[in-house]
Amino acid sequence: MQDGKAAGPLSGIRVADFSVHAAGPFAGLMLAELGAQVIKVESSARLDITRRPHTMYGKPPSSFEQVNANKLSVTLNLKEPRAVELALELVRISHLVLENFRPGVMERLGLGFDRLQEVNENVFMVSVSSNGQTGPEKGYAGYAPMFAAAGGLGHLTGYADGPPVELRHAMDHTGGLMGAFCAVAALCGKTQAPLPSPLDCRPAGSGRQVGGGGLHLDVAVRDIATAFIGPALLDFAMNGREQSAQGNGNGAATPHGVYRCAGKDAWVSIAVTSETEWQGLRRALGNPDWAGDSSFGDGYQRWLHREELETRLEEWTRQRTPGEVTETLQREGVAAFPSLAADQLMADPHLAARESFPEVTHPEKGRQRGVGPPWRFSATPARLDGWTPLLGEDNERVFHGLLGMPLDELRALQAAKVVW
Amino acid sequence: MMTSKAAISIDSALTGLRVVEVADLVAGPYCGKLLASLGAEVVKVEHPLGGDSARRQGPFPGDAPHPETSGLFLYLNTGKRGITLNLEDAQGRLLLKKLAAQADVVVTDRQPREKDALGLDADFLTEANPSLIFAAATPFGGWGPYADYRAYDLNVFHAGGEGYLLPNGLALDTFPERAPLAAGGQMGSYQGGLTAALGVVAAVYARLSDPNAPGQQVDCSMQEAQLSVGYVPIQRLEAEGIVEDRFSRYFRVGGVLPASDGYVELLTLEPRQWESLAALLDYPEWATAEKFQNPGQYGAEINAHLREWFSGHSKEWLYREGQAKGVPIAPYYAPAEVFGSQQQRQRGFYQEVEHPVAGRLDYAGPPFRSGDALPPLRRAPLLGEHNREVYGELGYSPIDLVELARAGVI
Repeated sequence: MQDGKAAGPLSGIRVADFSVHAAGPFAGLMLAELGAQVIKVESSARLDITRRPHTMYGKPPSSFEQVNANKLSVTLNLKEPRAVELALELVRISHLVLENFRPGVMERLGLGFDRLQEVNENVFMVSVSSNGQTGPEKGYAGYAPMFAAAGGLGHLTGYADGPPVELRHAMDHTGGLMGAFCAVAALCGKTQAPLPSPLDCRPAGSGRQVGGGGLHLDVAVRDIATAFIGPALLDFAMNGREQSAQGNGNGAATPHGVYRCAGKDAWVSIAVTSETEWQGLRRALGNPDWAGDSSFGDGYQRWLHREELETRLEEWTRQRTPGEVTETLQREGVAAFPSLAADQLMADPHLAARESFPEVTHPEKGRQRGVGPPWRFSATPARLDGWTPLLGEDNERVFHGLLGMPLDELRALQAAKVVW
Repeated sequence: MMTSKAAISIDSALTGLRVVEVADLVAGPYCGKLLASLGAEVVKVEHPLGGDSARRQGPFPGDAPHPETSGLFLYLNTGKRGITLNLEDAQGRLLLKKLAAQADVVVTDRQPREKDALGLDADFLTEANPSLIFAAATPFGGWGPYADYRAYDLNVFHAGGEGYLLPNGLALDTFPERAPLAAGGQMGSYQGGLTAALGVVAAVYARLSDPNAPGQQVDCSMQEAQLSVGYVPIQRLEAEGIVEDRFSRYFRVGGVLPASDGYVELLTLEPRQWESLAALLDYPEWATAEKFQNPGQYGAEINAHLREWFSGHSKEWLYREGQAKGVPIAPYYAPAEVFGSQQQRQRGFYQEVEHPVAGRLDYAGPPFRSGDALPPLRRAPLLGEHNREVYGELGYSPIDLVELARAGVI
């Protein structure tokens, strides 16, 4: 829509994003990449982690910045009653509200779901939390690795003979991804009629709504970690078996691992799951004598002799770069790919061809690249086209422009540390 | 939590949405499962000979392989109807076109070369249904130099940058020479499926909000889905010029700690949490605020003490005592403990599902709900179970179906 470009799929949707840190804001990022107008509500009274020097790492972590890209920023000091009123004004003109405080905090702030419905009966609120909004552990503190730990995914991650392994931002962000999915599905549910039928997406109070009522969606990231190991839990339900971590392995598939290549900390992943692929691997290796040995004669034999097989395979990969191994194996239909570091990803020709790292303008640092949306829509493109706003950068645009507040009142509220 | 006048519920958000899924294993089927759990009518298309290859992977009850009892298949295909269709056959491809003509969404995991060979082509399918949403979740997306590269979950996870950064903490200290590691449970594929599902509902929303909108293609690359949730090292490089590796991306204090009966995770990122931790430890001299604030200098010393102290207590004791004092600690639960978790049990997260061959089993439920309303799970389909029903809706009689089966089409 802007600059004559086609609008994203969620064009016309407005989101009031009260979330902090990583999991909740990532939901906002996804919605913003999909074309929604996402307004991040934050405050100088309690800066989000992206805005302050990290207590353990020292400096403001620029690496966390992308999670608030593509958004607008307003400041509201929610300890002030007038700021809470303004937050409710924002909710009144929004379709979605995001938050990821501990359960009960939004109520304490005067922004519980019941209150939000009083000002906007059609609003959807998405709450992303460690353990959910109910239950005996709802108040427990948590960060990404703890969701994965209690949810069971952590136990299944690690070397077979080693301790479990922490899953970090990817786990947090998956919580946001799930929250965004539920939120958009709920928006679709606004119309109960068969497709295609028009959906009025104007804010409450300004127009017709098809299907009434809002919803409070409760997304527990721990439950996501559990949902991702559903088959392992069925193994327990069926057989009483406790699955454990298998490194880079997958059941009996052999070879199935990550192997050292020529170069510093250079590795390639190789997965062979069928006889056809095994024959492809043999050809790729140049049909060495050892591969024809009867101890590798079928899938079961290869699994029994997997250590010897993997040693042989690694002797071969060690003499080649990950890229060479990948090309040679892929030519024979064998699944192989390098384990890529960030600099290799950013220099990768495939990702370059797909323009996976679009350039955006940072309000202070100038042009820089970010990670683009993970979809290509042929008609309603998703895009990363704005970087993280400065704190309160859009106060005037939102409070004056959208809510109609006179500018002198806005200045006064800023001076009084309400809009702050 | 919901008001009485609320007209929609989470499990009917996608009611009326007709989805055709042509996908195997994890990513595409998880996308279909998510859509089905919110009320979409998902028809899963399987090859008449053997069906989804997940049916041949375990776990199986008693470890006895059976196409109707694979835990992988049963879990990933809840809520769907199932039909058989041979897309290698020209008549089969025409049948798919008829199915697509009646559908809102087609979801596939087939890579470009295979997709074209099977007639899973957006142009071909949209001839009969211009408003169709055609979504593909593939390892590297629908175009680009690697678009047809073969890849399983292991390869996709390592292709997205996160694999190169695992393990860390205790596992890395124990095995510093070993290969980088993929997350367990095929996490990358679940994430790919979830990302595709978000793309699908966004495209559906776009169509709903504009009645004149045509259909469209949604190309979802699983590699990019990994990058999207794992953008942190990309930003560290772009903004600070630092290439992260396993040794740099590491919590200096806490992380994975041994307990007397397993492991727990400890993360104290805020000063008040260190103070709570010091209280839990009963204020030893190695746990002072100055030391916590200088993890570069004291991290190794603190962690050596923490590992020793924690290994004298059970996971459950550390979890309950720690949380009661405001220390972020969580246990690494093994499957039996996950299954018995009081939090998830009390919230009704596990749902009993009855299946005619596999029997009654508790399944992990959807990780979202509204109030106490958790979307109910419906069992996965048997191979070809809904042929009569689904093809009947297209106007085929039972006699036609016998013919099609004899010709190897269904």
